[in-house]
Parts: sequence; structure tokens; C-alpha cells
Amino acid sequence: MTEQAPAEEKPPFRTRIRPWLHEYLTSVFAGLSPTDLREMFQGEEPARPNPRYKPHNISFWVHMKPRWYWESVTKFTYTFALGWLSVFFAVVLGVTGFLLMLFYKPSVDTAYFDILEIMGNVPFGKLMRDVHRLGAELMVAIVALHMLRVFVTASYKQPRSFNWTVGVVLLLTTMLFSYTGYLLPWDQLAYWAVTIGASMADSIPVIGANIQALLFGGAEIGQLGLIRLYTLHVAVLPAVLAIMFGVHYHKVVRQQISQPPSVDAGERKDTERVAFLPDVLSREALWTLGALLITVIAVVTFFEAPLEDHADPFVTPLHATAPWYFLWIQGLIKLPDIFGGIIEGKFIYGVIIPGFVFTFLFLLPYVDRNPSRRPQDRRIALGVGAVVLAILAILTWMGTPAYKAQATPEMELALEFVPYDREGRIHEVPWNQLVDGTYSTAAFEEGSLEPAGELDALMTALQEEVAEIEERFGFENAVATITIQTWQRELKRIDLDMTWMAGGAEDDFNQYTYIHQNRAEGPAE
Amino acid sequence: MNVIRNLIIATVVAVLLVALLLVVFIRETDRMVDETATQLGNSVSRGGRLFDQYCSGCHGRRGEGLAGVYPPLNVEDIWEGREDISFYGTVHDYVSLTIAGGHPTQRMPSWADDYGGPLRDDQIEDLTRFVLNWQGEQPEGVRDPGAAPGVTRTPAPEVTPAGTEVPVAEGDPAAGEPVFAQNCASCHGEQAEGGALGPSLVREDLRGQPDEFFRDVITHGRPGTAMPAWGPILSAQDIENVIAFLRVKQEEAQYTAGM
Repeated sequence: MTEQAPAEEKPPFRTRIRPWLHEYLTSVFAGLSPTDLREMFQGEEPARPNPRYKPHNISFWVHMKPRWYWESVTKFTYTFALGWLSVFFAVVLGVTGFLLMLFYKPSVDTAYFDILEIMGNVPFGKLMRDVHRLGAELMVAIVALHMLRVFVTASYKQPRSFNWTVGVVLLLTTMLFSYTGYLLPWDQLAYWAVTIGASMADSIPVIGANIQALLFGGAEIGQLGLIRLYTLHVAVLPAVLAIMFGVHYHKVVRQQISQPPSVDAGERKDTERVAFLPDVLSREALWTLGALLITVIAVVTFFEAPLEDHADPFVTPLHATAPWYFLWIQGLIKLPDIFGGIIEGKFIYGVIIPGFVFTFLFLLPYVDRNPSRRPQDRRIALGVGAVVLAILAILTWMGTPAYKAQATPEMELALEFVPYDREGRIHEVPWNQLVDGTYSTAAFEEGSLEPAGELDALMTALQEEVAEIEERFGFENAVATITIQTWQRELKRIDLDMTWMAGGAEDDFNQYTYIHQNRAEGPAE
Repeated sequence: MNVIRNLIIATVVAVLLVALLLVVFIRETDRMVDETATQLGNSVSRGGRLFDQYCSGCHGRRGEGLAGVYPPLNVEDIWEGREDISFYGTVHDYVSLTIAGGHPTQRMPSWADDYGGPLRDDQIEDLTRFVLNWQGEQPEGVRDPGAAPGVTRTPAPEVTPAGTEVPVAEGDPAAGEPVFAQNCASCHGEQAEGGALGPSLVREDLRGQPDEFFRDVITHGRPGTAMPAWGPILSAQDIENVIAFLRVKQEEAQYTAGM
């Protein structure tokens, strides 16, 4: 028998697929073989040379991150992850903003209704809007705090002074982002907050009107102003932010995150390295999901993006304020005008001083030439920083209506209890307690209302405030009356009438509002 | 740093996040219904204030209108069940278009700023929602505010054919007061001092006018203005009484003017 040469046996499929799969996975994971991945996640020490550095050469996304960090800079309490959080919110704002754009038209005729539609007729629409608004407010705060951290740890000194100036540009961009976005809902809040800014541009001598026309389309904000701020918000500023962030982070990676001043000064050693893969990556993945969860929880439980009535150029709401991060400028404007009318006080306080503040911030690393980063060597710098912060806090408080913007006491009372363009005390009263009738502070006794509840609490508060007004403003025989009338189906009219004697003369005041059952608290009947 | 611990927590957080979004998604339909209802409620509330400011002068504080002159709006069906109406849009369209463009031949001016009026589109929308909130069943006491104490409501009197007028007694200011309050005060002010639509009737140049002047204007109206002809609505005696009431007011104004 001639032995037949055995036909060359095909290796089993499993064996054949193996090298292919290995190669494929290695390619997907940017140079990390399945073995490398397994070892990485099992917490084993990397081989040398470290195969986990390969993705930094291969992958676009990973190449942007440092290969490793000094151990000291990965301590949460050193950076508070503020720079990371800025990027996180920038991305969240980009995604939610893109989704909102799909439903929004920047037209004064439709913008407000588009917002109503987003809230009432788009699944997840209100969630998107709330996240976008919360993220926007937080991002301004986080970017400012990030800068404060860099100032306190003196990380802006050489060789990182240029990156500080890039950071100041990013802060300005973030503020402009938030400010331009403020106008887009085209409600009273938006309109008047932005009008305050536009009036500041107008105060610039000679070219003020031109600048106002350029930015806001004219003396009064209308369609031209809306489309301009919208274009800035969705096209110009995103491009500026992306480019400047690229420059900023490239420098961070090249120059590394600054080690704590004590390490710099040689007081303690920091020679341990923490690799991006897998340690920092796993931590940042956790942060991303955690921050998302917290944001969504905040939006679902308590945070609501405000939306006031439709913008109305003819009705100035009581207590129009700028966004909180510009309140300090509003506080400045309330300072006495001591320039004798030669130059507008608004120009000095609203343009020159803030301009000076930002210029100073910009040049800080070149002004503060003290090479030491240790706090004990920086007493003057830290002292000036603390004083500036205190002044900002005071000016911010002065910018709120609490300082020098109080209307007459009866108007303030009406605003608190029966406002017609915002939520007030009366809106806290459940529908079934809004029983038709006349309730007077002269005859009211606490706990006398049936059913006792919010209306009772409201009348008690009203009585107390009327007594306080009598005392503070010298009103005599002040009486406030709340009248509740059923006006239409599911609609009540609430009148606040107040009478008093001041300086021997009688005076009176009325303000009223309507409340629809759909808006009131409590279950529908 | 513990990679495994981070990834486990991250997985738990991811599951929580997805679960939370799922809960939001399940409740989303109800929330949108609530949100839309709240928006409607806010719109009606705002419309109420606009109605007080712009409409109540003619259509009455509570939309009761003025028989034969200004149509009541607090009715269950603004078309009164008529089917011979060639308007193919919704009632909402009809009301909003009427507010925007007016009924120029029937004393209803155009209110939209597109047509020279004072109101923006969103305000017309609010007003429309408020007016439509009268449609359908109304709770007790809202339908007919005339039933409220202190307000009398005279049904539309029949037209008296010319030449058959009963002899008219001298005007009685006390009897004229409620007639004035009911029919004239909404435009001319409670004390005839003038209002948003109607001029003052106690001003100096009118004090010297003879009774015939007032009788003529009240009876025949002032074409081209919002002043309608009251001849078909008020009796001749009512008109005499209103004139007498006006004279009293004019006299009062003369003495208070110098103060």
C-alpha cells in the first residue's frame, strides 16, 4: 500500500481567526493588544518600554492627552478638576445647544414661541433647555474659579504666562457666550438684561452709537440685534472657543500641569508618575458620567431655566438686572456720577473700569514678576487678590435690587405678593384655597382662615409687612386688602388694595393679577 | 488609583443615569401636557390684563358688552349657533383675526401693530386665549355680572319709531346716574371726566353747550368716532336724565377745577 500523502489539513477555524482578531483588536485599540488591555485593567505594572504609550502616537483623541502626570497634580484638592469641568460643560453645552438649535428660529416674532414649544411639545426639550441654562451659568463660575485656582497656586508664572493670557481670552469668550445666549429666549429677562449692556456700549464717547449699531443693530434691540447675538452665539464664539481651547490645552500638555509650589521650591519630592492609561482615563470616565448624573438630577429635581413674559420694549420690569456675573458692573454704575457731565459716569464705570480690570488680568503674569510661587513670598499678590475679590463681592451685592433700587414700599409689597409678570407669594397658594372673598389685614387673625394653609400664611406675612412699612416709612393706618374673585372659568382675579395716611393725606394703591387654575399649585379639580 | 474601582462605580453611575433618563422619558408625555396647560393658563392670565386695558371700555369689564352696540364676549358660543358664517378657520382664528384686523365698519378698530394698532402678535394671542376662555360653561356668578348687587342691567329697549315719542319730562340727575354708569362711563369715565376712548364731558367748552347739542350727539352719535347712536337704545327720558346728570357733573367740575 502506498501511503497516500495526507492532504494538507486545514487548521481549525478558531486557530485561523486568532491572528486576524488579534490584529484587528490591536488596531481598534490604537496599538494596545488584547493582552495589553487585559493587563492594564487587571492593574498590572506595564512592561518596559510601556506599550500603553502607543495610543498617544496612534489615536487622534488620545494624542491630545499627556502620557503621564506628576502624582501631585492628580490630587483632586489641588486643581478641583476645574479645567476638566470647563471642558465637560463646554461639550454638554455644545450638544444641548445643537439640539435646541433644531427647534429655534432667531426671529422676534417666533423666538419666544419656539421656546414655549421646546418646553411643551418636544420630548426632552425642557430637559435640554434646563441643562443648557444650568451648564451655561455653571461654566462661567467654573472658568472663573479655575482662574482663581491658577492665581492662588501661582501657576501663571513663567513659563506659563502666555497660557494665562489665553485663559483670560477663554474667560471672556465664556462670558460672551453666556451673555449672547441670554437674549435668545426673547423674554423680558433677556431683553432688559441685554438692554443694560447695550446702553453701556452707547455711553462710549464719539463712537458709542456706532458700536451699538454694530453689535446690537441700533439703539433699540430688535430683529437685527437678535440675529447678531444669535450668530455670535452659534457660529463665531464656538469657533473662537474651539481654537483658543486648542491653544490653551496644547500648552498645558506641552508644559505639563504645574506642580504645587512646595514641589517647585524643592520642599517636597514628587517623582511618582501617574499614567493616563489606564489610571487617569478611568477616573475621567467616572467623572464624566458622575457629572452628567448630577446635572440631570439637578435639572429634574430643582433647577428650571427661567422664562418670563414675552419681551416688551414698552414695559420695563421692576428690578431689571444683568446676569449675575455682570452684576459687579451694574453695581459700579450705581456709584455717584462725579464726572460733572463732561464724560458719562456710565462710560467710566461701565466701560473704562471693567476694561481696565480685564486688561490688568490679561497682563497679570507680566506685572507680577516675582519669580517665587510660594505663598509666603507672595503676600502682596495674594493680598491684592483678596481685596479685589472682596470689592467684586461688594459691587455684586450693590448691583442687586437690594441696593439703591427699591421702588416705593407699596410697589415692593405688590411685587412680592401679587406680581403680574412673575411668580409671587400668591402663586404659592393652592387653587382650592383661593376662595372668593375679601381679606383685609385690618380684620385678619392668624389661623382664622378655613382651610388654614398657604392663604393664611400669606395674610400673616402681609400683615407683618404692612406693620413693618408703617414703622419704616411713617405710614399711618396702613391697611392692605386681598380680594379674590372668580373671573372666568378656571380664572381668578386677585386684587391687592392698600390705603394709608402719610403726611396727613390719604393715599391708596392697587395692583392686580390673574391666576389660572393650570398655573396654580395643587391638584386640578 | 484603583482602575477597577473607578470602572465599577462608573458602570453603576451609567446604569443610574440611564434609569433616570428612562423615568424622565416615561413621564415626558404627561409633563408636556402639564407644561402646555400651564402655558395656556399664563397666556389667559396675561390676556386678562390686556383685556382690562384695551377692550373692557367697550366690551365691558367682564365681557358683558353693551346690548345692540358692543357685542358681549362672555358667551358660550361667539357665533351664537349660527351656521351661515362663511369662515372656514377655527374660532380661535376668527377671534384672533378680528382682534388683529378689527371690524372697521362696526367700530372695532384694528389692534395689531401690523395694521397700525398697539398690540404685538403675542399679545393678540394672549387676548384671544382670554376671550376664548369665556366659551363653554362658566361657573355660577361669572356668566352674568349684571346679577351682582349694585349693578343694574337694562335689557335692550325696542326702537321707538320717530314721531311717536312720549312727551318727555324734565331730566332727573338722580335717575340719569345709573344710566350714565351703565352706558357711558366705560368710555367717558365714571365722573364724565374722560377715559381711554371717550373725551371728557365736563371740560370747559362743553359746559356752555345747550341741551340740544347733547341730545343730538347722544341720539345720533358721532360718525367716524367710537361714539355710537344711542337713540335706538336709550329712551328719550333716559337721555334727558343723562343730560341732567351731566349738568350736575359739569357744575361740580367748575368748582373743583379752581382748587
